[in-house]
Amino acid sequence: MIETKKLTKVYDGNRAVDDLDLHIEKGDIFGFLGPNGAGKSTTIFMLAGMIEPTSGEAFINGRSVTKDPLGVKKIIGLLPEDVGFYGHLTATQNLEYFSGFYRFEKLESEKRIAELLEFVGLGDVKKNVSGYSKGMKQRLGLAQTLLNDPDILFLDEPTAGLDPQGTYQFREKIRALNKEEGKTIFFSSHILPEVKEVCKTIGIILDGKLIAVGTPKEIRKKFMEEESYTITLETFDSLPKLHHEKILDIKSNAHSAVIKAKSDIREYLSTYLHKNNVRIRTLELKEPDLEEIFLRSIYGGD
Amino acid sequence: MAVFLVIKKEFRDLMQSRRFLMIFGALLLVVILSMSQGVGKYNDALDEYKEMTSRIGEGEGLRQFMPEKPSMLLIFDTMTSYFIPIGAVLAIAVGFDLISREKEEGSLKSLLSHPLYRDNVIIGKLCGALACFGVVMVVITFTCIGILMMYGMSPSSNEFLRILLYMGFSLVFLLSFFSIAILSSTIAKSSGLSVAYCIGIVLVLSFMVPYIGVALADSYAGEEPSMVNIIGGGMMRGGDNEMTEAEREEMQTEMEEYNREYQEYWQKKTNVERIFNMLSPDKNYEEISNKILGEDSPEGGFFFGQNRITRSEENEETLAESLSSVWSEIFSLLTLSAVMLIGAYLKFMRLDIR
Repeated sequence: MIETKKLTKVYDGNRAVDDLDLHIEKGDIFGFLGPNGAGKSTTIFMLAGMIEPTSGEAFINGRSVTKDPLGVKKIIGLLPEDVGFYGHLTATQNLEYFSGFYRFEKLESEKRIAELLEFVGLGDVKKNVSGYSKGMKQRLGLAQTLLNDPDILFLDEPTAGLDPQGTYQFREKIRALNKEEGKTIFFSSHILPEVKEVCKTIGIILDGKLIAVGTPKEIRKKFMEEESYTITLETFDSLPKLHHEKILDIKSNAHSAVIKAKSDIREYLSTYLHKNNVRIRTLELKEPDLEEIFLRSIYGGD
Repeated sequence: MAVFLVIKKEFRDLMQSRRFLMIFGALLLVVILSMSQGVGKYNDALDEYKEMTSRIGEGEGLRQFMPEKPSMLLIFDTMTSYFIPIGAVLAIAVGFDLISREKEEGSLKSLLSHPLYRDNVIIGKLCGALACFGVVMVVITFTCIGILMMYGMSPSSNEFLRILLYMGFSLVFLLSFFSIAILSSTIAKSSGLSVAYCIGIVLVLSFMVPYIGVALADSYAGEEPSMVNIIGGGMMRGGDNEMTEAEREEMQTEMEEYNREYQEYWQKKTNVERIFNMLSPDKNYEEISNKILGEDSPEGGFFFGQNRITRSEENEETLAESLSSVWSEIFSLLTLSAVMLIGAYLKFMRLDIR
């Protein structure tokens, strides 16, 4: 379980993360969504015990990150954005070095490393990491994240820069780790479709502040309260003047109209036009999807 | 212990690094070269000594002119001048990308995501590099001793101790340049920038500061006293043979006065220069090496030339005396390294690793 209370990080007077309160249950895949520079990586690094918070607290499975960062590191795995390795070493040598920090038995460590490399599809690759592609490095990153068989995985923009096939494979691995091994996954991204695809719960961060948290459905509902519905209407006969308290804006001519309304008023329009003997050609509702809402809310519609 | 894992990896990486091995090879080569030059020089001095002693031995009255037996430390005469540039390059090559490369490759983030503290990383890197320099100096020391043995020379216990101490300070010298390099590596965002910072710091400390020291020393010490008036006066008086006793005494007094003024001028000049040179690791190392190897720096006075006075086995300073005369250089060499290393440590601990 991951919990933060008023977690804050200030850099040169700027609040990179501002009073963050999070509660993520065991077994969840939590999507941490926000534009670049919103505070996603800073939050992850604080939760992973790599950056000291300016104020506030964070707990991983009840352990305080500030008081026991090494204890926390032992039960988590972190895949940083643009993960890097020692290029002059092979994947096995890199993982052997990192596994030394967990005091595994040599045989146990060798077995684990071989299994992990097999899991990420690098079992047969013997060349040095300097010759790896971005996708291979990312897969090796996932393997090093799993070295200590952690309960919780922090993945910072794990599919950034991967090709569609690599992205798909990576998502499958994440799903498998959650479903088959019950791992809690904290997944950051600035791409909504990806988060929507993989995550059970979503948190949206903007300028260091958590602006929404919940299931994709709950998030959509929350944003829809501030959104409008677009209804396209076309008729065979001339349109009468349309009135309704939910109508925000209307652009019409003799036989068509584009109506912006606070809610879906198609039923009202249908009845009203029928009463006025106006035959309807089309009556369509254009409902904004979560991505559109997200882009408008976060990037101001760009 | 996490720190030992880091030390082990860093040590292994450095010892397998082609860059390190190449520069180390070059250093070893110049050490051997300087030693063979030194052996030749020592043998010449020894032959000269033997010839003079045999000549003096024939005439009883010449015993007071008995020359001093040259010290074996003469063999190390040119080593420092070779060691400074290549040793500095080796130390910089080891340290300039020790941190910046990890930042560039992103391996620092991976490393720090595992259960170890940040200071384990920087301390491990420092100790790993120090262990490498230790190996370098042990190999060089054994090479030197091997060369001496090859020529059938066995140093006295005092000479042996001085050789060991010289090697010890050579290690400190390597550490001082390494500390500059690792500080640059910690501050810089890339290895390219780190090299630039490193070269900048070395240029300032090793060239600019001593140059400013010389310029300021010249202006502080004033005009160099001249002998022209004394010589001119002597010639006006018709030379040594035609001078009266009173004129000779007057000239003697003028000479003594000149010598006193020159000593004062020289003292002022060297004091200022020494203060500035103390900021330069290579000047400090040179000064300390000269003292340990028994070479005196030029002293003031007209009758002392700019060249060093070559050491001999007799009339030698004790080791403690040699070290105490350069305590300020030893202190500043160690302080400079410590300041740079502490700077690198503090910067690394506050590094933004996102």
